[in-house]
Amino acid sequence: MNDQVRKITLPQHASILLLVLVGAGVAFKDYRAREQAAMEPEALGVADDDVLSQPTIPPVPLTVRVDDRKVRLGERLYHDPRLSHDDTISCATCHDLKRGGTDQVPTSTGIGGVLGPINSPTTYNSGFLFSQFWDGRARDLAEQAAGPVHNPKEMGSAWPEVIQKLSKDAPYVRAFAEIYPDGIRGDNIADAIAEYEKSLITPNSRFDRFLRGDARALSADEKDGYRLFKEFGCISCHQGVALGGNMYQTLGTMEDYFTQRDESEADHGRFNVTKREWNRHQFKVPSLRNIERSFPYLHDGSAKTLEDVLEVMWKSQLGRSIRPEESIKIVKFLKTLNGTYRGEPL
Amino acid sequence: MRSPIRILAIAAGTLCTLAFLLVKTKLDSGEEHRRHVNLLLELQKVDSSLNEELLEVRYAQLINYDPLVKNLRDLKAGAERLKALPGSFEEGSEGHSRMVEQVSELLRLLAQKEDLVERFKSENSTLRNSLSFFPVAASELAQVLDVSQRGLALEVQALLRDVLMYNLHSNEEILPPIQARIAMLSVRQRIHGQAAWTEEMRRVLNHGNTILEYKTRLDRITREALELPTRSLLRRIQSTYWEQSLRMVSLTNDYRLALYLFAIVLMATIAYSFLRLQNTTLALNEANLTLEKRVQERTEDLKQATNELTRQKDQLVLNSKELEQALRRETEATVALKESEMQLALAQEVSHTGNWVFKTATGGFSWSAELYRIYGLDPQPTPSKELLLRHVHPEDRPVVQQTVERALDERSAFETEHRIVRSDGQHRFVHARAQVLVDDSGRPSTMVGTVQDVTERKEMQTKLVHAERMASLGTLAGGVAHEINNPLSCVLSNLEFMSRGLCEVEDVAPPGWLAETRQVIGDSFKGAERVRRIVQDLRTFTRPSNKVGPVDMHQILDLAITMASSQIQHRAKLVRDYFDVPPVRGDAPRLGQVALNLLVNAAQAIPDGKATENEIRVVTRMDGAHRVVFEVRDTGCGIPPEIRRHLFEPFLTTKPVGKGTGLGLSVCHGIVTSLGGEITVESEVGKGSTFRVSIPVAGQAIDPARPTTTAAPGHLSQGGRPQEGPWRPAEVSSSAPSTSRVCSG
Repeated sequence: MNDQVRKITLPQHASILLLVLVGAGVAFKDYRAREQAAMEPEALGVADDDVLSQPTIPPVPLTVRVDDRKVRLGERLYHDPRLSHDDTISCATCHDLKRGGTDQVPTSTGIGGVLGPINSPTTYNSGFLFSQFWDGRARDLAEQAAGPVHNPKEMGSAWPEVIQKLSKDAPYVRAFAEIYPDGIRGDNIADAIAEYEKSLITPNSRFDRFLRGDARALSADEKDGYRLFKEFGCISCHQGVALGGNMYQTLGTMEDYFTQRDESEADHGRFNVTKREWNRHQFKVPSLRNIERSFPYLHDGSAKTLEDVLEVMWKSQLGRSIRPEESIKIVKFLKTLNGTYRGEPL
Repeated sequence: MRSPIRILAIAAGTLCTLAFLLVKTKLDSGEEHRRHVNLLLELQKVDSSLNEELLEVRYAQLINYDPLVKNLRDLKAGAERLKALPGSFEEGSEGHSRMVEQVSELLRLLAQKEDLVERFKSENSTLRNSLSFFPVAASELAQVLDVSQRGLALEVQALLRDVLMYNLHSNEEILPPIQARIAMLSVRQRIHGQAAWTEEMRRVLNHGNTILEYKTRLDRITREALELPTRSLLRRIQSTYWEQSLRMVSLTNDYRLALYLFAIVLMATIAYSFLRLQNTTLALNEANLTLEKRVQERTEDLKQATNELTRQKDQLVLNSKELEQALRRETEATVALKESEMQLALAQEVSHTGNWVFKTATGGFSWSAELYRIYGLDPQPTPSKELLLRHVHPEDRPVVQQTVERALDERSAFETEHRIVRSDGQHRFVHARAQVLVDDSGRPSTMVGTVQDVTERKEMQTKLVHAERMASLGTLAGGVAHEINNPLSCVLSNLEFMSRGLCEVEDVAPPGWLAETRQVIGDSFKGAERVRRIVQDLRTFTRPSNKVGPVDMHQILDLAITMASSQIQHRAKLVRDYFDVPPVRGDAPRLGQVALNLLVNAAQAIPDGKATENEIRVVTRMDGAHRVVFEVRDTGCGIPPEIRRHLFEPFLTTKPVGKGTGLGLSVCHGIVTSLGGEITVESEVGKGSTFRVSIPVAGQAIDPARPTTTAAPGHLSQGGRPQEGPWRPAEVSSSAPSTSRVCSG
């Protein structure tokens, strides 16, 4: 009976062999095909940016993509003085949204009435800046947020302290828990504040409307001012959507700025960060948007008016003089850079 | 069939291989690969864009630095993402380490590029401004220069030309002259510090210097930035990646192929197994059918065989039944036969009858078991007529022989009674019968005979005769005694009277006469007393009594002595050797009989006439605490050993025919043993004999230690103390004790 069991007819053998061959054939074909496919690089399309078609100064975008929950939380934190050691100073103290996003004093006063070393930049449109602080030591807004909190001359606190205070506040705890799985932490606080600050865009300035095609948004003098702004080369540094904030420049390229007085540490500018000689006295070019509101000007806040700062610019940066009427026109132009926040002009 | 373990192992191995191959092929994560490839391409594009923009900025086509910022940022972010290598890069592999190295290199280059770009931006702005203002400044200066400073104006023109030329061509050679000119002009400017043209001149020189300085630097920076080998590095990264991914893809592909082939082989195996299974099923079905058919055939055969067997069985059953019955019948017959044989044997045993059969034809002689027993023979010796005759008592033999001979001759029956002597010497009485049987033709074929041991009957007969005699004697004696009593009483009372009368005539009687008369009366008394005693004893003696009670041995012995005195008187002295003995358990007349018998025997053992030389001693003593012994010793002729053996047997007598019946000692034996006692004898021929009788003390049960069997009379007890030395003299008394009347005077 075993023979009978083992007996497999020739046709049966043949059919199995056929199936095997076919299968093997298919397998090999597939193998080959894949080999070939692997060889060919995949043609992937990557969109080309037509850079040249971009304007030198793009208008502020009307909207910005932010996480609303974080923005709401960040807004609360931004205005919360508990971020300072003695619960007196919040971000808004030096970066007051009602005062052009700054405190409108030469240098800020920190905790215990300590006078800070440097003028506070505006938080409006700060999301467009390529780095934060005058010396660009913070890569982004989140990195920047920790600075004042820990600065003994500013808020004089530390995250643990802040977290402890915030943890007692149930709404905060709830809000944090909702957004951040790991609850109230320093980097989460900074993240929320940063998200909020990113939302502080000020579109629809008259200049932006002009850029978008509304020729009547600017007066003739303002238009002329814009022309002169370009002609004199202000635009070389104050370009981009923020009219600045995308490069470092030496303060005193043509004329040495700092000979008039003793240099402070803040005066070293980017040198403090990179320790490179060519970075000495280099500061981040500030944004000119809402410039009318964010006086006084320059890192030391020494230029009280636009006229003052323009004087510095002609002398130190451009190495030329301009006629007063030219200066007035430019100032007029600069005043068209005030945008709106939440529909309200600054 | 392979063992289950092997199968399990194979299955497990197959599954593992499949799983392994599947996993290996899954390693091809297309998504990851695509993303990485995308990223690499994008980085290259971004890098290119950045370079483009730098040039555009340089050519004043692009003033907005935002794109530069964005591209740099994207490059850096992308490079960071490159660090996350796809799974195809295994840790420790060459590809992996190369990739890591290249990515770090890229990040380093990008940092450098960033720095360069920052510098570029700053310098570019300044240079651009200066370039655009320099001609203006020069023209402003020219306006304030008057014609007297024509030389100066020309210098300034030349400067303008040179600087712009330098800006255009970056010719190193013209740099020194320009610088020289600037130097010269600045000197001039300082000298003429108050001139109207000094400020303008200063500005011109400032911007000129700036241009020269910044141009050189910016060119270098630009070149450096553009020449950073980021693109080639990215390409290398890409090729590294490609290589690796290709390798991975290829490997995966190989695994996939292996998987396919494995699967195909597996399928083929399954197909074969399936075919085998089919075949097996078919074969099984076929086998099943064959089996069924065969089973059916077998069943048929078996049925037939079974029927046949059943038939045979039935037959056998019948046969066996018949056999059984036959066997049963035979058994019954055998049993019956055995039964009857047993009964016969029993009958013979009980009746002490043996039988013999003599076949005249064969001369065969067969005896029954009882016959052997009667003769005291082992059932071995071949029975024969001679044997029979040999055992006949010598005295009876002639008669018997004669009878038997005659019977044999005449082929007739016979009947005899004779004594036989057993092989153990015992004498028995037998009653023999024989008969001749004839066969069908009338000729004698068989002789059958019986021999019955009638000893007991004979004994009984003799005892009966004896008893009858004794009874008649007793009756006679009783009558005589009674007759005698009356006159005797008269005599005695008369004597009494006379004795009393003597006392009265004491005074007057002559002295000698009184004494003599008293003596005479006394003697008469004695004589009369004696007669009375004799009469009394006679009555006692003959009185049948079965009463067993305490009996005074001495009394009985004295009486027996008295009765035997006539026999003893002339033969021997009688000596009494009496110790104190308690009463014995016995029957007084019977015991008296025994004592009398012994005494008479003793007397008769001694020849007449020599009374003074012979002695008969009667002794009583204790044997232990419970037995009383009395002995009768004589100095007679003694008893020879061969007779001693059969002493207590009935019919043994040494007395001449007519004198004794030979019954005495056997009777004594019977009486003594029935009282639980023993009778024994010691004797020496020529010296004398001692007969000893021991009787239990009254109040004692029959002592079981001492066999008191009423066995065949041939049983002799050889007990008793051996005779000790010669007779010891004892008190000699002449006659039985008598009461003598003593006159109290």
